[in-house]
Amino acid sequence: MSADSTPRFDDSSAAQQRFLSLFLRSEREIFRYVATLVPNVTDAEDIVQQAALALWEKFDAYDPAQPFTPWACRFALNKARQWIERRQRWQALLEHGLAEELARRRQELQPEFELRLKHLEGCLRKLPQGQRSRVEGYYYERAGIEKLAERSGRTPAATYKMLQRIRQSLQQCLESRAKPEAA
Amino acid sequence: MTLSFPSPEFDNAVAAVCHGSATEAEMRALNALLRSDPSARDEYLIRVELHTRLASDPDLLAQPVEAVSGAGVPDFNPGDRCRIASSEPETPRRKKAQGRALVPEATIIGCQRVEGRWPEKQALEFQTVNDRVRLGVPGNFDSLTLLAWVRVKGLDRQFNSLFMCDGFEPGTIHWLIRNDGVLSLTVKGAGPRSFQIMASPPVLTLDKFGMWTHLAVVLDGKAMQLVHYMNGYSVARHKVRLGPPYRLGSAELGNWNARVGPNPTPSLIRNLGASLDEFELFSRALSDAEVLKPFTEGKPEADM
Repeated sequence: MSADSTPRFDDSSAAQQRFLSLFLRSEREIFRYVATLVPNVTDAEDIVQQAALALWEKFDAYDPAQPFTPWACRFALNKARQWIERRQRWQALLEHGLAEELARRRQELQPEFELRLKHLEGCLRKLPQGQRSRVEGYYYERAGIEKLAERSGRTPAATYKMLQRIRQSLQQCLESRAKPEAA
Repeated sequence: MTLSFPSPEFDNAVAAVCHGSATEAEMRALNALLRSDPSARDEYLIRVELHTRLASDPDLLAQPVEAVSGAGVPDFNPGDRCRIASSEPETPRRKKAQGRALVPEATIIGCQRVEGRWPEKQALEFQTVNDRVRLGVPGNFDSLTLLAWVRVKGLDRQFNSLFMCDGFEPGTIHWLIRNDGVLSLTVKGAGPRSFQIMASPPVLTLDKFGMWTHLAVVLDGKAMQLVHYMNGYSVARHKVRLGPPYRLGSAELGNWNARVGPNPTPSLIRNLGASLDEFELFSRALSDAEVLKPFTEGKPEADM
């Protein structure tokens, strides 16, 4: 390696590291932001991936004095819009300004979400073992409905209903735990 | 297609959006509803948020089988000490093993992270029949000391495992709490009917449930004496009939591998319903003063 190439290499690798550490710290928040518009996990992940590439390309323009997450979320929103434009179904869901309205309202509801969702771990723990393992299968292992159905010997439709019921009971648990504090 | 809120159709449509299986008609109907009904929109957002939290926060669901190799000397030599402290906040998915010499490997299976003796200190909660920490401790020992900070939730089983060697092998031990609050240590001898059960009076009574309690047992193979301790002080002393060498081999914290078939009888299911903050194992007999020290230094203010 020549003498003048060394500093360049170090610069870019240091920038990469800086970017990665910022991005990884914000990744979950960016994902949740994107998922407000496109809740399907696989699709949301695709969008976050594309946003990550765009962010890295524009990282020169990032002002370190500003918080990273809002800056990244703006890119992610653009990427989500482009993604939605190419998909008629999702357009149908988010047209007439609903995308912007959802993103705005989520911002407002954020403190309430935090209040409710801080009990999520406790509520998950209260689930009967069978339900818990289905939640794990779907969300943690990303097994997919078909696979979960096969595993439990149920039809995909029944498995889908089951997941829905589990989400309902989680939600009830979260609400009941959040209430005493609000009172 | 139109949707109203609240309605089962609304529930289905939101679930289908989350799963990525909603039809265009469903999505269009949802769009119309969410634009016109603010309460439906808020409900939609909270459901989506719950869905994405579950999908983006693996720690919430993680039941990882974590293997932790101890640094330092892999052998568990006489005079050495093994300390397993459950994970600290800065290493949420790592179990910390500390001490001069360590059990070569410990594996957490199931278990939940819960608050330990003080905020920001984590403990492991054993709840389901599968929750356990598996460890392997090679070697033969003349004496052993086991210490643990435990917060008992309930003594649901006839025998509730603290530290149990797998099966019922010669020279091994079973440290457990009986459902009547008795602390018990069994030493297994060589023959099939050879064992000694050394029990305390019922000390872990209902009033101790939910409180952090320091438990210890010293098996002194030189003095041929066994002492049970609770909160730093001895609660029972026994003469030991079955002398060393003692062995541990593969063992479990908070559970027992009875080494029987897939459908064990109820008395062979010995999972613990408690949180465990720290577990320490010494390959020598600690003195009364040495057992008292970790209790006085480590007791949580509010609980005592």
